[in-house]
Amino acid sequence: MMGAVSTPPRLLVVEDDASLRSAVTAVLGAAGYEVRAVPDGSEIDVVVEAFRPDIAILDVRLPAGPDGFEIGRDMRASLGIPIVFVTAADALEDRLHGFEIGADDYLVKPFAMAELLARVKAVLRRAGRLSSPTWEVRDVVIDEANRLVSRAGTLIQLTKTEFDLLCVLAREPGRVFSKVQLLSVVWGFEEFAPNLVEVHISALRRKLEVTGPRMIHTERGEGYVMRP
Amino acid sequence: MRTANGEVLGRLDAVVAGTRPRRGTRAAVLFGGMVSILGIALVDHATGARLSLSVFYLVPVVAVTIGVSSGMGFFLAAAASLAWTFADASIGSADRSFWLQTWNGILRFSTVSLVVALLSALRRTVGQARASERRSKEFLGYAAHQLRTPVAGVRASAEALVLTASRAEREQLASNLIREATRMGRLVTSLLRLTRLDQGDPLESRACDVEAVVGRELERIRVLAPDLELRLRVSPGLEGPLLLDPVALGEIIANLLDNARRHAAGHIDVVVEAAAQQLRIAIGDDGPGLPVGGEGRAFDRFVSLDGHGGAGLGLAIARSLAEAQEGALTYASRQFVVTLPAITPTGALESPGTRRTASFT
Repeated sequence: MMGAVSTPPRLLVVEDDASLRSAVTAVLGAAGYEVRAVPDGSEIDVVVEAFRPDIAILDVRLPAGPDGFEIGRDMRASLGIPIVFVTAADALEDRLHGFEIGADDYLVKPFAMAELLARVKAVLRRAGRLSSPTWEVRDVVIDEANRLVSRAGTLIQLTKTEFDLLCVLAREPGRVFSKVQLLSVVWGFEEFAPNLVEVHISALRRKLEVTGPRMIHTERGEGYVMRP
Repeated sequence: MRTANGEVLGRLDAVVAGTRPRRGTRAAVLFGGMVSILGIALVDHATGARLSLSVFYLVPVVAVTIGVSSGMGFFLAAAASLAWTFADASIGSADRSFWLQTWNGILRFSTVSLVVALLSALRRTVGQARASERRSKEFLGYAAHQLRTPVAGVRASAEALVLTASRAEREQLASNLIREATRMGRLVTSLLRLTRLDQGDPLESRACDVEAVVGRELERIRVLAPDLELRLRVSPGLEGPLLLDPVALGEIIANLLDNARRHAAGHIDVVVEAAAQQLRIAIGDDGPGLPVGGEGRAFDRFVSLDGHGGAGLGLAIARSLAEAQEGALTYASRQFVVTLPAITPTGALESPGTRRTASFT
């Protein structure tokens, strides 16, 4: 799901909670990142040296070794690795402290996977570690950085949600996405109504089909797929 | 938004704090009052006027006010009654008999003392209610915070389950859901248990076979940790059942054994002794023990010293359960020690099922 990059960005996750660790690893892995997850910071130097992450996602409260802030400060200062902190503490002071020591972003538990994916992508792009060139599916051209879409040379006006939806489908042409999956990646489950997906898919179709034949197809009982 | 709220709350706090008289202000008012009374008495003396008559009636009021807030109520009430009676005697009622004056003094002393006692009780009650409310709020805050981690795990795992296709990963994620749901279930049970104990729900004392209860819990640990060596020693002093709540005793033992199981390297020692009207159960293990300085905090609510991700309620509940049976739970020389009153059901002439109520503050 990354766009055209030669090697996928490497993400280091430090999280003591086993459930959260494996879930985050699964989602980031499915999104095309190379993920290394460890439960604490006890051997963080060795891990960083071997894995050379492009970004680190750190839980602030860790049971053993240095806490997330300490790990983050060292990594940011000496290696320039962008940091996203994750914590259950949403106290303002905690957040400010995080930014003070150079946090690039901050997530408060519990969070939606869509939010995690969006923040990771934003931080990577800011750090210049994620190239997002324009890409094409048949005659549809998508410029993700500038959020522009055109078909057969004609610019198409899309809403934010329609654009996000198109990006998800267009990144993996041929893959069928279920309504619930789209709900998760695009809406982050903040709205739990599968007919939201239907409404936005049909709006997107209408706009795309003005200048060409149908590209987003319905797979009955399965979901939606974009075919070149 | 958050900052604005914080400021508003801060200001509210200041307003609430401001409604209570400051120590300095109160002292100034008292000092002023004393000086005025002295002044009026001097004027009385110099002019032969009777101004002091009304002023002396204020003395008990002032005494009650100081008495209630300083805890010296009866002393001040006595002094005030004496002054009051003396004033009456010296101003205008000189024809009354000595005994009448004395009776008058006693009545005044009783009235003032009663008022002081009532107001002090009211003040104490309000103080306790405030403290209790603050504790409940703290408790709620901690509980919510504790629930957050498993909720985050459930949410993340469920979403990952929707997004992932690999069978191995899906199995892992589904087991996450089960684990986190179990964790939340345990936490909710503990919270409810503590709440009920705090409310002083009665425990049910009846003839309890201590050895059987301990044996049952040890058996459970044997299943969970077959590699650990479990050593049980029961002193000959323990004969027959004791008057205790078997469920509560089981919970205490289970809590301590679970703790020991998580930290033991090779073995757990349990020693049960009954002597001098006291049942003593000591549970220790060959693990690292509590960290130095952690002995006091280990029993506090939401304090987990071992980094195992527990909610930190187990020892707090165990201690409350011991105290609810007029016993105690302490930590000394690397072992947890439960002491409970050893009352034999027949000796104490109490029938099985006697309810013993205990309240906690």
